[in-house]
Amino acid sequence: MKVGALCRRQVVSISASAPVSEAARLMCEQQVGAVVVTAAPADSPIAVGVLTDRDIVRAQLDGAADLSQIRIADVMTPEPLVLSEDERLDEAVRRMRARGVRRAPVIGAGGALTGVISFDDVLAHIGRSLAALARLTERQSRRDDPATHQT
Amino acid sequence: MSIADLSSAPVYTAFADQPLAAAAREMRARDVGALVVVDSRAQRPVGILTDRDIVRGQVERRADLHCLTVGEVMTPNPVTVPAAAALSEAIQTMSAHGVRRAPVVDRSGALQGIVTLDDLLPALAQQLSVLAGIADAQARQRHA
Repeated sequence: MKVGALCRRQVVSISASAPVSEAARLMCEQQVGAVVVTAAPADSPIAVGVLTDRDIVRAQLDGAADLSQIRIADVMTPEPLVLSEDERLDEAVRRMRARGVRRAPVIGAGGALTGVISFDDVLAHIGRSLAALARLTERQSRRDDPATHQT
Repeated sequence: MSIADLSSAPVYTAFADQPLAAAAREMRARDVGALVVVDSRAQRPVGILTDRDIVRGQVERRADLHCLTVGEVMTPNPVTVPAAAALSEAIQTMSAHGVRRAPVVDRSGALQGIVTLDDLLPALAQQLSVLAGIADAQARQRHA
């Protein structure tokens, strides 16, 4: 399994030059706890950071409480782990673990942002495989059970 | 194994009438993503406060965290897990309600801890690993 086969294509992203208030509104609208921060060019944006709800709250405690006065570029986590679509999933998960992150922007062959992959996506994928394996053994144990054999 | 055994982290609390900024500072000082909001008498959970609640509350109320209280932005009426619940019961309950974390309560309903998805997954993975050990040992025997 490759990263590109599992990642989400609807990336919630925002420009690094926008105020944090805009990111906060976007996160509420989209019901997400994190957004990918991008820089130009607009037609094939580059991921330059990740901004989480925790980053926002902590920035407020340190400086201006007014979210429109804080720039995203100043409080985001810069230089995020970026994964490529053709990377193997197990390798990608190892790199996420090494960096201690639960989500990573995904880029295509040209380096442009094409998706995002999260801990939740990988867990769901493993869960589906495990459920399929359980269905297989369940079917076989029913077949092996003498009570279900016709005599 | 019951939930009381595997909810690893200590639980930190807040009160509904507390200023939101104070709760946010507590979350940072403790390096946690959530506080359980309790009533002051019986220590019963009345809400959960996360970073997301703090951001959403400010956007929806058009006010910053210095002008709000915990009670105004918390998610009220949290789903709780009894301390004696088994791992699978906790997973069922939290999955059915769509919550990633739940206060753990004793028989009287008083707060005893907190359990999160991050506690449940390693516990489940450990069970799976033991099961895989059986399969692995038998596969080796067959090939020996």
